Amino acid sequence: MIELNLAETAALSSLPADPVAPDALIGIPRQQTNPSRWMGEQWPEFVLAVKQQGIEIRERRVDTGIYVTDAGGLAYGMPHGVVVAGSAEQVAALMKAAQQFAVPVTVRGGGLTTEGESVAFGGVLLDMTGMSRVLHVDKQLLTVRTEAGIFWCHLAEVLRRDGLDYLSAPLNLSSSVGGTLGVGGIDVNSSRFGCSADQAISLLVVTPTGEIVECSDDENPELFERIIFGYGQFGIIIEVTLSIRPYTPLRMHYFYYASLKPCVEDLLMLDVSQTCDYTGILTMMDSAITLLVAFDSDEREAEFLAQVKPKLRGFGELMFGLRLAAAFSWRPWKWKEALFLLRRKRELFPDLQPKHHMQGDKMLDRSVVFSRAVWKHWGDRHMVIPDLATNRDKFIEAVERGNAVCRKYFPYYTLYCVGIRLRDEHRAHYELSSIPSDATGWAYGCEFEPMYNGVEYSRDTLQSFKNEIYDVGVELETSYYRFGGMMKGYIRRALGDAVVEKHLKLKQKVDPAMILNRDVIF
Amino acid sequence: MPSFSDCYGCSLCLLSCPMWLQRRDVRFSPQGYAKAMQHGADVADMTEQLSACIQCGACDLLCPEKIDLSAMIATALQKTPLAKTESTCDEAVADYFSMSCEPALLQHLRVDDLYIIEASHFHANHCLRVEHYTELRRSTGCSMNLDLNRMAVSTGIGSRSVDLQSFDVTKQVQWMIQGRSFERIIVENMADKTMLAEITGKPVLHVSELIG
Repeated sequence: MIELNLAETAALSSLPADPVAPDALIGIPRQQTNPSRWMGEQWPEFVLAVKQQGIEIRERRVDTGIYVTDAGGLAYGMPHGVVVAGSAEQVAALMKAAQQFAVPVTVRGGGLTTEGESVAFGGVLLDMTGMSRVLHVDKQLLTVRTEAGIFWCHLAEVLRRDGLDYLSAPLNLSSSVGGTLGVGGIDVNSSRFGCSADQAISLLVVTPTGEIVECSDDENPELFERIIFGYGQFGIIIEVTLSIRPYTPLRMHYFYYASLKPCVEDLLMLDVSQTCDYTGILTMMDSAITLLVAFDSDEREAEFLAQVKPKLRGFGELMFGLRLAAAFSWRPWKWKEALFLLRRKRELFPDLQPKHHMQGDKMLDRSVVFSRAVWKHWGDRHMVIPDLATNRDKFIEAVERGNAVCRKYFPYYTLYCVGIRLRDEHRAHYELSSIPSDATGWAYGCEFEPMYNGVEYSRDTLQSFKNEIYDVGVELETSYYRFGGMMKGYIRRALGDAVVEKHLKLKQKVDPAMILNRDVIF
Repeated sequence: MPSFSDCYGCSLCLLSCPMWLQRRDVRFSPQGYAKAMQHGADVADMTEQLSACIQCGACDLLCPEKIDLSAMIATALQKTPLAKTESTCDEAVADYFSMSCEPALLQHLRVDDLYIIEASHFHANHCLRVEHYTELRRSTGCSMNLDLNRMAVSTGIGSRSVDLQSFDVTKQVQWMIQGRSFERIIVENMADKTMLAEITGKPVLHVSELIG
């Protein structure tokens, strides 16, 4: 028998040699691919049953093709048919028929998944944006009841007319509320308010078997526990009641650092001090790191400036620019990097404080400003954003090791770090989620995003990059935000067999045909 | 020049799209058109959807790929029977922007006014005009039909889509005024005047009447 080494095997294969250590994760395929396509068994019978109940199902390619991929742009799949959500009763009827005929149902809101979680590989795609209206705003109790397919941007739009705002939401205008509650959702104020999922007070849910159920911490708490952070496995969120707050413009401060560690240490210190309303780290390169701090009130800002600012090790823009210029001046081999930073600053900074979104030195619409900047300056056709989520103690190591992986793969990339305030009473919600089980008080997340700068990277390169970031997480025994879809091979390694088996049994109980959001987690 | 084939489905164009806001169906959005065309649709497949577009131009500004979406839609419309339908919108309109720059407007606009910017003209030159209107709003304290993206919420009045009964103006105006407190409406486009008065029950003045 002739044994071939890896290089020889690769030479015979049509695939290139895997650039990541091949045996790093035994049993987990290194090059993830789309899940196998559901082949349409009993599809005609299912369609007939659904249509008899007055539900429109679109099967033309021009209609199904709209949903061919997600924001990640790496997973491609076509549903057999599309249903646009119209009511809880319609969704319930759809789910009952889907259980009867064992037809997979993939639920999609804004489609801002990155690993194909909202891409249907056959079966039905349920488009929740059909249910995206605000139902009621309670100005006294500071709550809003909304349909779950609404984009956060539209929710903000409606709330603002009444001088109100949501607590925290992803910095992405076209994320849907329902989709976000299913996975977490982080904002630059999550160190104060927690993640978006923790804003939910109650939900109206359609279960995988088609029951319509209201749930909250007090009513059907077990279901509430599973739906929040449930990655869409245990039910479809139809309506949501969220906590809201009075709207305030905010005043931003930026501090600049030349290396990651002091910046991350300062972020951790700020969160513990609870003196800031918004905190986060955004890098241009790992030699130009921005600590973002902002305030809802002048009083809080004054307190910060007097007591906390002197402890920060970051510099103002001018001083940092001078130090950077001095550092680059005697390193001609790094001038390309310097030119990139200059160009980046020239393009990015005006978009972070556009006059029409400012009132004096206060920012009026942080979600719009940040989100548009994200799409313009970081977003790309392949939104590849592997992440690491850790407790406080492991965070610096996670950021530094993740940064080293970025540096290995890409000349230009960005890191986005935030703290997430945890709610002790919601600890059960976090069980199979991005929140690491060993985190107390705050969890921390860092997203690692390549900037392509006009360079085309292969799908295999991008996948290898994601794998290597997640390998760091496995070694650190921590969690991830985007562990579904194409990255689900990591779930058992990261979260452990016991937790996964427990949730699998729960899933099998509530979804006997295993049809709801198939291949996302299980 | 980026074309519909460059759309990768970010959904940003939906955020200020009057047609999508009414229908909540992605087929009725520039993204829906682009994606359908990527999958082999021709204009015959999209006649209903194309007829619902009021061509306000907000999508062009929101698209991160800088696809000229309104031109794409206009080109598609030319290939449909709808192209023969005459618009009631008077294209030889006055220069709305110049009127809004009149110093007299600053003196006569009130805090309880709702100033309706003519959307398609505003969007056609957004980067130059948005700062002006922002300043006008700040100086006078009036409300404006601007959304959080600083796009103008179009009334749709006078558009071909309303003639084709594929766009509901009443619904659109209700959304535009929802939660806004005002006693008087000032319009740039004369075509908006009568219908806005009917729908809102408030006095409506054309900006030329205000500046004298």
